[in-house]
Amino acid sequence: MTEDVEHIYAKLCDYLEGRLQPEERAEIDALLAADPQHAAIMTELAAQRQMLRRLPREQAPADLVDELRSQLERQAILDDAAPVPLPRGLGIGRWSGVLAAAAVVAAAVGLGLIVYSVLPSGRPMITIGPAALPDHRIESAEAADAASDALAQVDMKKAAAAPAEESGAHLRERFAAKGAADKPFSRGDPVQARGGAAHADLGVDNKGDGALAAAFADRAGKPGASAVQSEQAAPVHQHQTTPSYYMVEVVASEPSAAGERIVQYLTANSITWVDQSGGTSQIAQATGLHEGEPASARKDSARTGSAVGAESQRAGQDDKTPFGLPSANGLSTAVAGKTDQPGSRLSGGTDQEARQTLPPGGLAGAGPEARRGAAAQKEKQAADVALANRSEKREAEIPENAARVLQARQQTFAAGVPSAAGPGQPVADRVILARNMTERQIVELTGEMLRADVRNLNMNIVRPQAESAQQAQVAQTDVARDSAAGSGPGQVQGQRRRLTDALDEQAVSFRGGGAATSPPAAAAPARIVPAETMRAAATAPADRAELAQQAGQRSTVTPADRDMLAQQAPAPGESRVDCLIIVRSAAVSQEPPAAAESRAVGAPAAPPTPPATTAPATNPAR
Amino acid sequence: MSSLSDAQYPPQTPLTAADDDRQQIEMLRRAQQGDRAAYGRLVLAFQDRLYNAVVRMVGDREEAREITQETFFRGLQKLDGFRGEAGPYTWLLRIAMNLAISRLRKVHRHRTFSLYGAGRDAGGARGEDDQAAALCQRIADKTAIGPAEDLERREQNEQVLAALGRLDAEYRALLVMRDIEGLDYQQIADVLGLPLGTLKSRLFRARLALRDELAAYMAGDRKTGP
Repeated sequence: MTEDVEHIYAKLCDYLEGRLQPEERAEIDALLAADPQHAAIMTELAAQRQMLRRLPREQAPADLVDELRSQLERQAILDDAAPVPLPRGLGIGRWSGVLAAAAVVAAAVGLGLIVYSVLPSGRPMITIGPAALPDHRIESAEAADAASDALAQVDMKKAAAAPAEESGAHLRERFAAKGAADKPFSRGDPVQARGGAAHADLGVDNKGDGALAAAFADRAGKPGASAVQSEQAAPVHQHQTTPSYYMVEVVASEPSAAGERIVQYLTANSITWVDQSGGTSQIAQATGLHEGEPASARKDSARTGSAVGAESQRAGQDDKTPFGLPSANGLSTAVAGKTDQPGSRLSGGTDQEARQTLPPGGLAGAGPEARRGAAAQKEKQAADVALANRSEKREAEIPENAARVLQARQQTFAAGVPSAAGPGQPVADRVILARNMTERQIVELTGEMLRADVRNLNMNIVRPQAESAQQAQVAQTDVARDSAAGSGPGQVQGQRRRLTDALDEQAVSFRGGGAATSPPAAAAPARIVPAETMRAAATAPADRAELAQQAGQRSTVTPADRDMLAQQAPAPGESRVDCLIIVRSAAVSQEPPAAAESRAVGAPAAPPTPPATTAPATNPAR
Repeated sequence: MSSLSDAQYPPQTPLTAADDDRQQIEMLRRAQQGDRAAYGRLVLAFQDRLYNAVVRMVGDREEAREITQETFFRGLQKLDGFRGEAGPYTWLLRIAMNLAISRLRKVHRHRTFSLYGAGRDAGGARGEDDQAAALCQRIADKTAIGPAEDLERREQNEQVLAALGRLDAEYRALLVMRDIEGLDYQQIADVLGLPLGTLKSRLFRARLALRDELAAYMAGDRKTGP
């Protein structure tokens, strides 16, 4: 039917135009004659066609040809000016765009690195010590972080596979199997590899260039050859002269339990830590001061955390302390096993490791002259320690000198030599360096310690913010817990309160750092200095005065402070600092029991506090 | 080229009405060989016819001008594509119609313009007033009709153009090429690429559609006519 319609329409079209044959035309004429309506339509269509044909014709614009000529000329010019088509491989394609974007990113990163390396960094430095000691710093904070990360990754895997105790024993066995200390490390030893990496970090080399060192070199973005420097090469360092670290001093009648609690917290929070007790035990071993040292301390000294061996190897410079500082109180010469230069290998990491620095056989294996020399050195060092302690105590009694004494104590603590210890006393039961802790973690750690079943716990949290002691941006927090008050050691056993609750019930106070211009006000209420204020004080001079004023006041923790502390969750970009945790025995502490005296609730066993911050802590809340 | 012999305008091109397709094809062959002057002669020969067809298609002189110019420009670019299967004008008209239909589909609107409205249209092409006046004069001379009949013719043309502008583009193209331009079926089939049978049936449908558009006018005309 459709085809019929199409055919009829085609025939009607021809009919209108007179193209039909006469017989076809006659046929249609007959049909139209029979149907006037159809005939009228055909008539209209014919008339309509005539109307179309009669439409006036339009002439092209006069300038059409000119315009066309101009267009052709423009095209010719463009064709001539058009660049020669590049080969396909060189044309602009999607890969060229990607390469361009990559080039921009690379340029930005490179510029950032340049700026970062040129401008002074605001990051907390790893070294602990005043700015006046420029020659003893690690090579690069970035390299240190990279090495620490690398070590942490490796050691965390090891730690997951074996308990820390076993790990430490394993390390000692491996070191022992390696033989004498003067035997060079062999290639491929993972421990040495870690040491190599750490030394590369610090700009020194133990000739261990294992895979991890290479990995570190990759991570640090440096060639391995440049990252691993020679042993004699002087470490080069740059920025970061302002000390920025925390020091937590834990004085407890059960230092072993306290240390265990600390280690548990650090491990649970994946915090890289290293037991620096080796330095102290090493000193004790060399100087004979280890008499009476708790066995737990010696045992703990062999234990390390996730960065086992790294920090100890890092501290393996004979003239460097673990933090690149010179050893304090002259206690460094006896253990300088590698070189004749004075200096302490204070943070040897493990006892076994420390022994490696001595001549084969240790002091016993040395010749008569060496033994006599060592004995003389011991006597001299003991005298120095006693002198230093006496001097420090005297100075600490003067309020104006308190900050300076505190600074000196921090340095000595950083060097692993507590100034409060006298001859014949263990310098510290345990010294732990926790790396890159957030402020909240440090506060949480104190909470853990408060919840721990540790008797006679007294904690001092010290964070110097000043570039010098005179600037008095030292805030110290004493967290004293009267574990023996009334109910004995089990008073807080089983308590699992939140940190805020714990802090609320403990005496928390800030003391002025002994600023010469603003001695601590004994009765003035104080507030916890927020971390933001602490950070700002490090850079803003105006805030420093305010901080000093705040630090000179004292009070309990307010709910707002607790909220602030509780909300200080570690976040990307949050400042992290190293924290030196010193565990000391309350029985041997020489510090006055200031905190215990200040407690409103009477404490039979008064936890001692450092002598440098002698302002008694009180707890108005009690 | 018999259809051209019916042209109702005086030949203004170098090609006379007697020039056949052979001459036009020869000129295009020369243009293909690089003789720009030959192509220029073809432009001069076809510009009015092409422009007229386009202006009836798009209903706008300026657009018709642009399309006509673009048609010649593309024709020059595609000279190698001409194989002589159709006449040069058919070849160019195919380009023009494709451009016009694309333009109409793109703007999706129907345009008509008054035959005498060029002077009143703001922004008209240069010389539109003169063209309109000349066209009117030429028509007047040709027809030699009286004032009343001239007025009626004007109204009729406007109605036809308006109805043509309301048609579908394909129907419009058929009517323009067949009834206005006078192309034969084969030429139209070459331009639109349709079989002859289909072309005829569609042409008849186009006429029916135009009749529907002119129905009101035709009814009034019949009432008022003699």
